[in-house]
Amino acid sequence: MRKLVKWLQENSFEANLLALLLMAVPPVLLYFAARHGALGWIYALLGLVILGNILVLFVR
Amino acid sequence: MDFILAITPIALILFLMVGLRWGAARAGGAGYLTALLIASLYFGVGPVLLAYAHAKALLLSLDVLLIIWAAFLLYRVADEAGAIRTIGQALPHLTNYKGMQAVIIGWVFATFLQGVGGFGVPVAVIAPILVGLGFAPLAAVVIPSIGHGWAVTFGSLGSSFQALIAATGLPGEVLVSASALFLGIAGLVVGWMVVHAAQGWQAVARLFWVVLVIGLVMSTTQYLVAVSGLWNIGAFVAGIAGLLVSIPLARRYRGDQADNGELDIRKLVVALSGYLVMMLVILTVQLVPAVNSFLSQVVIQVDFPQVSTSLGYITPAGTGRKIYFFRHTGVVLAYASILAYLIYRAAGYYKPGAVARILNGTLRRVLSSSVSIFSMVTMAVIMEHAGMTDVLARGLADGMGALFPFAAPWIGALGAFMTGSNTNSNVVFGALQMRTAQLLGYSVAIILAGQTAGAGLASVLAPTKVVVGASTAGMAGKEGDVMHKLLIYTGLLLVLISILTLVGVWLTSVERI
Repeated sequence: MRKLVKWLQENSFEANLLALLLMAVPPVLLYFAARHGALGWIYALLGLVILGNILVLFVR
Repeated sequence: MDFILAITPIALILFLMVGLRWGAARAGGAGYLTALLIASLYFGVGPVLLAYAHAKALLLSLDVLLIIWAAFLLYRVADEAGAIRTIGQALPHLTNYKGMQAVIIGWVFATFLQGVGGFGVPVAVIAPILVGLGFAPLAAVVIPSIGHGWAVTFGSLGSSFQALIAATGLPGEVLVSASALFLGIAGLVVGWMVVHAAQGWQAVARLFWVVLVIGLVMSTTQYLVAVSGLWNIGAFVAGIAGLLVSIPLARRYRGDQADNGELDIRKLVVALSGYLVMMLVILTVQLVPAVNSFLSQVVIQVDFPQVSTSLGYITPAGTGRKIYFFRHTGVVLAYASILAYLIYRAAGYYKPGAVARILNGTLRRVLSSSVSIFSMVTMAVIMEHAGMTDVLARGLADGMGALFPFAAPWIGALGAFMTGSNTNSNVVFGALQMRTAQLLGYSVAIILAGQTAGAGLASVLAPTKVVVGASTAGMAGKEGDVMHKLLIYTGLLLVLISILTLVGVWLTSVERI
């Protein structure tokens, strides 16, 4: 965990890029998952967006 | 309890950015997570509603981000060619009188730069130029900081105004008139403030009429361009008009010293050509029906069903933000960027590897702000769908009542101060201000004009902008001095906007009677 946090802090560009992708891509799929009522997919995809937002907390 | 929980995500962002000095992206992430948690656990938001809210937020974010990305790309294309430096160096040739230099460079040129770039560029570019001309470092930071604030909403190629449209769902035509009027009046006052910051009251008296003429020309131009539907180039055209008027006026205030050497007219024309091309492309797309309809063929449009929380708060069905991709301002700016690049390359202004540097510089500069836009827009949409915005609006309406119009610009200002941008403030507070105005029966257009004008003018106080400005003028470590000076000028401007909002609300209520 400590190594991961250190990597995120030292590689802010890559970390921000990853976070941006995690925030921007899943919402497209979330729309279709919601249309089909696929709760499993919705939880998984929301998890990715949440992960993206958690990632940026460690980026300086 | 409802109100406290509803305000928690916003209060947290404020605390993290102002208290702990976190960046907008980190604080936005924390605000998003908090809003998600509170909306799910307390306001009865389920997974399907969250899924639709995220999809809607993606559309709103893209609508704003396309402009931000392309605007900075165009700026990098010009900057890499040395165009910004050339324009900046040409301006001191017009006059050696410091008050007039402050007007032309710190106000008019700052407006132009805000029109085409924004993102702290006016202060970063102008502060070193003013230091080079002999201004004290504190004045060199303060002058362009105040000077560009009035142009923020219709600057950066309209991204802040576009954010207000996206956040409220109202057509731009409804919002534009009051916003442009408030900012135009503030712009005029800003001119005198710039002169005061440069040379004191004596210079204000000497340049009173000059500032009045230039200010009226810039404010009227911005108003007319914006209300005609071209709000994305409002500040840019105002800057151009200001430069055209300033040149003959500057000759009357040349000062005593010798001039600043030879002015390379050809180089200046080529430097400006990138921006002239931009204007031409935007005007062609907006005003030539055949081009407009040809580019309108691809539309990104998503239908959203009605959703409700388990507590019964309903968001009606509707179409999300409609994006005409090939004529979207951001994509049009991308066309302009390519054309500008070709012109500068043909003129031999680029060194090898320029394309890579332009793209790399753009990506690095916009990445962090893109992350913060995604987080904050999604947070705002979740809060809206959860009914949290409605709770906040009702709380504000009950608590403030008749005082709300006076407070609206300060709420916008707070948002800009804490998030570092007019755009973010409009995203976070746009819907809240609209809902509160509706509950209290005030004109939504006037209240939102107060929101965006307050946010634009106060965005110059954002810690990130102050730090950038201070560092470029050799004031690093003395940001507190800059902030103190800016607080006085910005505070006065906010009082002005509050009065305008009050008067506007009063006039519109009289009209209804």
